[in-house]
Amino acid sequence: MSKNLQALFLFLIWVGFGYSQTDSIRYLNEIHLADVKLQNNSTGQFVQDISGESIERAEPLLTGLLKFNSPFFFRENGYGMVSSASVRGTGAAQTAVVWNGININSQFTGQTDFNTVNTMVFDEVSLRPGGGSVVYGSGAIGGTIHLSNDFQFKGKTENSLDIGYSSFDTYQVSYRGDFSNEQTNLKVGVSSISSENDYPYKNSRFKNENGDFYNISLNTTIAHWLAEKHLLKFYSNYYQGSRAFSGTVTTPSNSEYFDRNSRNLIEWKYLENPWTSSLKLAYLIEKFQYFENRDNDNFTFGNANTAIFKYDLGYELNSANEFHLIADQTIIKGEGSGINTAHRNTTGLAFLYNGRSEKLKYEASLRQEFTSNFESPLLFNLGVSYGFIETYSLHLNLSRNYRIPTFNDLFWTSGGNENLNPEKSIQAEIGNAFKFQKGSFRLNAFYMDISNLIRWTPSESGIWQPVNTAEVRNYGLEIYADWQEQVFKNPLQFQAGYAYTRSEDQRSGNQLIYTPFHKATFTADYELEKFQFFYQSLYNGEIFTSSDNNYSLQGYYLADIGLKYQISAKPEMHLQFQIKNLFDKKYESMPSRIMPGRHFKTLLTLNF
Amino acid sequence: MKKNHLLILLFSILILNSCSKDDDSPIDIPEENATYESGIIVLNEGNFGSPNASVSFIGTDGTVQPSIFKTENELDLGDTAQSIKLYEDLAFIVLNVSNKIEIVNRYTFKSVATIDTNLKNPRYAEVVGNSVYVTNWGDAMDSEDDYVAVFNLDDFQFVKTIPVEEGPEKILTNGDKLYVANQGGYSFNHIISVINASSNSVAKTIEVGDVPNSMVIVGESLYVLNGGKPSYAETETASSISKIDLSTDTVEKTWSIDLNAGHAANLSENSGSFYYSIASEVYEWDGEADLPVASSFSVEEPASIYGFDIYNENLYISSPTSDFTGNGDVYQYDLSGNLLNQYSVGINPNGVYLN
Repeated sequence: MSKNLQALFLFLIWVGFGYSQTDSIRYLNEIHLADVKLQNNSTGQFVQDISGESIERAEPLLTGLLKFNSPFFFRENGYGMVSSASVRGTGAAQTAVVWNGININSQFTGQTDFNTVNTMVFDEVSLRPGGGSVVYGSGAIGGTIHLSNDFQFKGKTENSLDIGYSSFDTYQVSYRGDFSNEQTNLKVGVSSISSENDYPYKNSRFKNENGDFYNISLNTTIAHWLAEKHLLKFYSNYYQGSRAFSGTVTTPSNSEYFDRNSRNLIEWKYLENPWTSSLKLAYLIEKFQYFENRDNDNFTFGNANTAIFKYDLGYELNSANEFHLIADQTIIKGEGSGINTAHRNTTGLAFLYNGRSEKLKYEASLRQEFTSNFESPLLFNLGVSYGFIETYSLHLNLSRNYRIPTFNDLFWTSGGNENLNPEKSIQAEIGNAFKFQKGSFRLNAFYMDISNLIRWTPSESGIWQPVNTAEVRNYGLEIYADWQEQVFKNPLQFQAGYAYTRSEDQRSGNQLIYTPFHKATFTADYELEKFQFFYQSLYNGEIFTSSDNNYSLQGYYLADIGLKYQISAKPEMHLQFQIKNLFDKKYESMPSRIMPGRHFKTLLTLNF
Repeated sequence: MKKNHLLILLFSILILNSCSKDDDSPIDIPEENATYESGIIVLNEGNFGSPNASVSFIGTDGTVQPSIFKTENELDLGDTAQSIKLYEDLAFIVLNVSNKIEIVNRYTFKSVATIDTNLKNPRYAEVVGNSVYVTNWGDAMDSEDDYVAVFNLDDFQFVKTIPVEEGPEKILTNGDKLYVANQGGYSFNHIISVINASSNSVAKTIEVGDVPNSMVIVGESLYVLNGGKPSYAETETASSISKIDLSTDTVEKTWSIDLNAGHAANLSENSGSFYYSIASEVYEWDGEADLPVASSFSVEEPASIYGFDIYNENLYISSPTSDFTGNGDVYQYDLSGNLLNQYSVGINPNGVYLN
C-alpha cells in the first residue's frame, strides 16, 4: 500500500514538472467552501442547494426544511421527535449527513436524527441523491445531505437576528454574525428552539403528552490567511438537545432523551499552483442519554469519540485535468449501556480524477479502506456529463457504495454480531438536465442493487441479532423543476420535485416498509413590494408498515402558507407569519405517531 | 380498458347499494350469541407502540376470523397484547404497552370491562377465589418496583399491590396460593414468589435456576423450567428444571440440561408427559427420569417459536414473520411432529387458547 502511495506521489511530481499552470476558478472554491468535493466531484449527479431564505422560513429542524424542499421521504415520530430519511427508497442508515465535508452519522445507529440538527447556524444545506461513499464514506448509499459554512474576505460586518413564536409554546431565537477583513473571516452562530409541543391529536381526546423539547446549537467558523498561500480554517459546532419522547396514540410515555454532539475541524490549506494541499484534523464527540422514566435516575447511554486525520493532495495538470490523492485515518472509540468497549480503526486511500473539455465533464475515483472490524469493498465512482446543446445536457453516474455495521450491530451485548460485513450497493443513474432562461428541469432515473443488507432478526434461540440477510433492488425516477416568471413586474417563482420509488425485497418482491412509491413537493413564491407570499406543499404517498404489504398508512397532502412583510429597509427588518398544515390534515408518517394539525408560526428577522 | 373500468365502477355501485340495503334492515343478532363457543383463540400481540394487537379465532372447521375483538366491540384492542387468562366465562386480555386489561366474554368476545389503573407493564393474569392477580414489571428499568396487582373479580376494582422480586412473569395457582416466576424482566432473576391469596402477601420465596420461563403444576408438584442466562450475559448458565413440592414449597429435585444443547423454554404438560423446546427441537420427558438427550422431533416450518401451546394432543406453534411486521401463522402439529394445519393469523401471534 505505501509503495503504491510512493509511486503515485512520484508520478504526480514527475508530471507536475512537465506543465506550466494557469490560475483556476477552482482555487476560489478551495478558499470559500468547506466541502469543495461537493462542487468538484458530483459529475453525473444532481446537487440541490437550499439557500438562506428557505432555511429561515422553515422550522429550525432539518426535517422541517427538507421535507418541503426535497423528494426525500421523512419518517417522524411526531414533531421534533426521532426522524430519519429515506432517499431513493433506502433505509434510515443509508443516507449520510455531511457537516462541512465530514460524515456525522452516529456510530451507534449509523444514522443522523434529522430533528437533532438545528439548521439556522448553517449557510447552506445541499442535497445530493445518489451514491457518494468514495468521498463521504459509510451510509452514502441513497444520497448525502450537506450542512455547510462558507467564507468570504470582503471586509464586511453582518449581523442577523431571528426571534420567533409558534403554536404550542414554541420559541425560537437565533443570531448569526459574520465579520471579515481581507485576511480573516469569523462567523458565529447560535440558534435555539424550545417547545411544549403539546398539540392536540386531531379527532381524538388525546394530545401530544410528553413531547416537550429544546435544543441549542453553537457554531463558530474562522478562516485566516496565515501567509500568502497558507489558509487556516476552523469549524466548530456544538449541539445540545433534550427531548421528551412522546408516546403513541395508545401508549403514554414518560421518557426523555439527551443529545450532546461536538464537532471540531481544523484545516490547513496550502495553495501553490498547480498544487493544493489540505491537511484536516477533526474530532467528533457524540453522547446520548436515555431515561425511560424521566422522573427517576436510571438511564442508558452511549459515548463515541472520533478522530480523523486526512491529507488531500491535489494537482491540476492543466485546466482540463485534475488529480487528488487522499489518505486518511479514522480512530473511533465508543462505550455505552449494552456495549462494553467498541473501537474501530480505519485507514483509507482514495484517488480522484476530474477531466473536462468544452462540452464534456468526467470523473473517476476509487477508494479502498482497511478496517479493523471487517473487510471493506473497493469503492468507486464514475461520472460523465455532456452538454449537447445549451439547453440540454446528459449526465451519467455509476458508483459502488457501502454502509459499515454500526457499533450497535457489532458490539451490542445481547445479539451484537462481530462477523457482519458492510452493506454494499451498486448504483447507476441517468440524468437529463434542461436549462432555460426562466428555469430548469431535471429528470433522473436510477437503479440500485443493495446486497448484504443488515437486519436485526430473531435467531433460532430467540435472541435478536443483526445478520447480512436481505437483498434489495431500488429503482425509480426523480424530477426537479424550477421556474420564474415576472408577473406585474414582480418575480413569481415555482419549485417542484417528485420521486417515484420502487424499493423491492428481492426475495419476496414486496415494497420495503416505510418507503412510499410517491413523494412530491411544490412551492410557489411571489414578491410584491414589501410583501412576500409563499405556498409550500408536499405529498407523501401510502407506505406499507409490514413486510408482507398487508398493512399500510395512507398518503397525505400537506400545505403551509406564509406572508413576509418588510417593516423597515434599514436596518432590514421583516415580520413573517405562517399557517402550517393549512388544511388541518390529520397525518402520520410513522404508525400511531400523530403530527400536528393546523398551527401558526411567526418570525421577526433583523439584519444589521 | 375503459369498458373494464366502467364495469368495475358499475359493480362497486351495485355492491355498495346492496350493502346499504343490508344496513337498512338489520338482522336481529341475539346479544348472547356465542359465536366463538368452540375453537381456538389466537392472541396476536401486534407491533410495539401501535394499537394493532388483535385476536384471531380458528373455528372447528378451520376457518380463521381475524380481529374478533374489534368486530364485536368496534374498538382497537390495544398495544402489545401479552397474554390471555381464561376463567369461567371470561377472558382477561393483558395489554402490556397499553397498561390495561380488556375483559370480554370468552364466547361472544363482547366487552365486559376494562381495567386500566394500577397496571404498569402488565404480563400475566391469574384468578383465585374472588381476586384477579396480575404480574407487573413496573418501570422496566427499575429493578425495585415490580409487583403483583390485585383486583376484585366482581367489580374489577383495584384492591392492592404486592411487591415481588424483579421481573414477575408467569403466574399459576394451587389452592389459595399463587406461584410467580420472577424471570427478571430486562435483567435475569431466579426466584419463585409464593403469594398467599388469603392474606395477599408474599409467604415465601423459592430459589430456582436462572430465568424461570415456564411452569406447570401436576399433582402436588410445581415444575419450573429455568432457561438459564443467555450467551450475552456475563456468565452464561445452563437450563434446568426444578420440581417444587407444593406442600412444603421447597425444591425437591433439579434436572440440568447440558449448556451446549442450548436454552430451553415452553414447558408444557399433556396426559402425563412433559414437553419443552430448545430452538426448533421439541423434547418429551416423563417428569421423573433423566432429561432426554435427543429431541422427539423438530418443527421446521415456523419462522420462530413465539408461542408454544399443547391442547388435546396437538401442539400449536405461534410464529410471527421473520421480521415481526406482517401477518403471522399458527402451525398445528401432532405430538409426533407431523404438521396438521397452518393458519394465517394477525400480526405477531404469541399464543393460542382453547375455547
